[in-house]
Amino acid sequence: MNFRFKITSVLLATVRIDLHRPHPFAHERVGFISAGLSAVGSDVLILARSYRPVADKDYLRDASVGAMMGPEAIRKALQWAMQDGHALFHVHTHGGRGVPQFSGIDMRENAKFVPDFCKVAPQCVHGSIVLSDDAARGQVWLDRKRPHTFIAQFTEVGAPLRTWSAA
Amino acid sequence: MSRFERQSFLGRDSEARLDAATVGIIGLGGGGSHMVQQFAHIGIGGQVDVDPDHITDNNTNRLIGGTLRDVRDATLKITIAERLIRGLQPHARIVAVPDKWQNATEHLKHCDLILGAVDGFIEREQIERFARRHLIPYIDIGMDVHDLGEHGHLVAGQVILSMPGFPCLRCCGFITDERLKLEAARYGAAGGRPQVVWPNGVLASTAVGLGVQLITSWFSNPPAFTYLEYDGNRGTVSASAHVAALKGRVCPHHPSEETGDPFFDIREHMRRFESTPGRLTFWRRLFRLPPKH
Amino acid sequence: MSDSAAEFAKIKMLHSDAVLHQEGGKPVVLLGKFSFLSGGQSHTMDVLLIPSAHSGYDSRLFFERKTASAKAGWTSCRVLERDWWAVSWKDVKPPLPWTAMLCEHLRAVE
Repeated sequence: MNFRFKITSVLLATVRIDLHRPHPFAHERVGFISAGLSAVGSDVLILARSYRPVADKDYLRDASVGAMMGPEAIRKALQWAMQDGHALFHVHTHGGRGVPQFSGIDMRENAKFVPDFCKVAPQCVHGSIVLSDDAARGQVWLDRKRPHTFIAQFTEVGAPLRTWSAA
Repeated sequence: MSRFERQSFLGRDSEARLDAATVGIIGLGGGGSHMVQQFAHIGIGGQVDVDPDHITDNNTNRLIGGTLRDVRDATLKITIAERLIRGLQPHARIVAVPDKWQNATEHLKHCDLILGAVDGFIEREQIERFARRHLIPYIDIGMDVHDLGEHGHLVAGQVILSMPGFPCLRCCGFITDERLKLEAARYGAAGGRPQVVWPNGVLASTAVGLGVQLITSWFSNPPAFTYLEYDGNRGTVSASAHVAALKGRVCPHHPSEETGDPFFDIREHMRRFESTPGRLTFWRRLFRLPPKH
Repeated sequence: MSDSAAEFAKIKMLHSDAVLHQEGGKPVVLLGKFSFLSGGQSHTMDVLLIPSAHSGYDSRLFFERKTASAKAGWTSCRVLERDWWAVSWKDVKPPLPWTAMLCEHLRAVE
């Protein structure tokens, strides 16, 4: 089962612009991308819908990491997923160019909270995406129990189209 | 020396990009057959070609690649299309569906771009909605011959690029409830209108050009939305006034919240596919998808 | 409560398995496993009520499957990523209440 993530150029640009805004105390910004899903044979298309940044006041002070979401940020995102039946993807950026890598801290923290989305919206997959300035990589959780898998391919839908492999 | 040497201006990586791309063409008549041929010439690596019909005698005035022998043999339009493609791209990834497009959606979902050369507004609207749900750009072409009475005839047509997030066929007034009502009142009969080869060629070529702009990097600022109007009497293709009027407008007819399949459930999907590990390997090869994890 | 919400609440009282979706920004009511009579026989299937302009009509009722008894021909249409059937019958115009619209459309398969 492979996962392919598609997002419009307009939405991706919106996300990048927001994530590059300075935060009063966090080194990085984070947000959530909502998506719809569609089966293509055994594979799954993840089709981005919209973006919500984590509000400034919902960050916790933690100098050991780039950004730490507080419980209110996660609660709001869980509610969004549950209420509207979205697949949700946490997103942040490492900047630079080329397909980025999740850091060890990213992997550790994602594994703590992303599976909880599978509890409130179990009909969807959920995950996490790390951006660079021209590419992305993503993790997907199918349910709470299984380890995550990686998004195989990204497509930026716009003029022109851009596709890259990321698994 | 590559057969694409003369199109190297499309970009250093254009050959690879074109080869990796898959386009879907719905309707393989006068407009669609041109597009099939041109995409094969230019080196598009994958095509999903959809049409339920076979060629008939009155198609031969415009169906590219169709012969009188095909009429005699009642050859399917998809067979003619595949023959055209294979003559230029022997290793092309072709999915040819002799059915209506609603029965080809599993293949169309793989496409980077869908082009429609169909007859009716109701069908166009549905194709566009399918494309929008799957974040696939859609290019629509069509022609008409209008009887102007004592003033003769007007040959006209359109090429419209409908890109997710940008104005759609409704935004630009091409699809309206009034047009849908008129068509429904005729029980959906939209075919049988005058059709002739050269306007189809102009419109199809224009559509292919837009497609190549989206797939390669040769054009520095390709449009994300365009509505081109063809005046066959004057021999012009020009941007509709709608293009300027709709600049910056977000489409309200295809809200971004409506991507995907509203009934998709990953639990059901896993139940169906995790018990059949070898299934669909053929399609994975066809669309050059990475191996299953 | 919006008009759509109020109308949907009445449909939900009629059929508890009703779910309100949206397509093109407009309400679409899915009545799952809805039972009705057609040609004297009872049928149970998903039906879809669209109480606004769609595919050339002022409102539409789509069926999961065709029935043998219909007052006019069937046409197919793709809505909410599924294929449905509707009778190309007379138009049922808003602003009828959705429950009345549903009943009027069902007359096409009586």
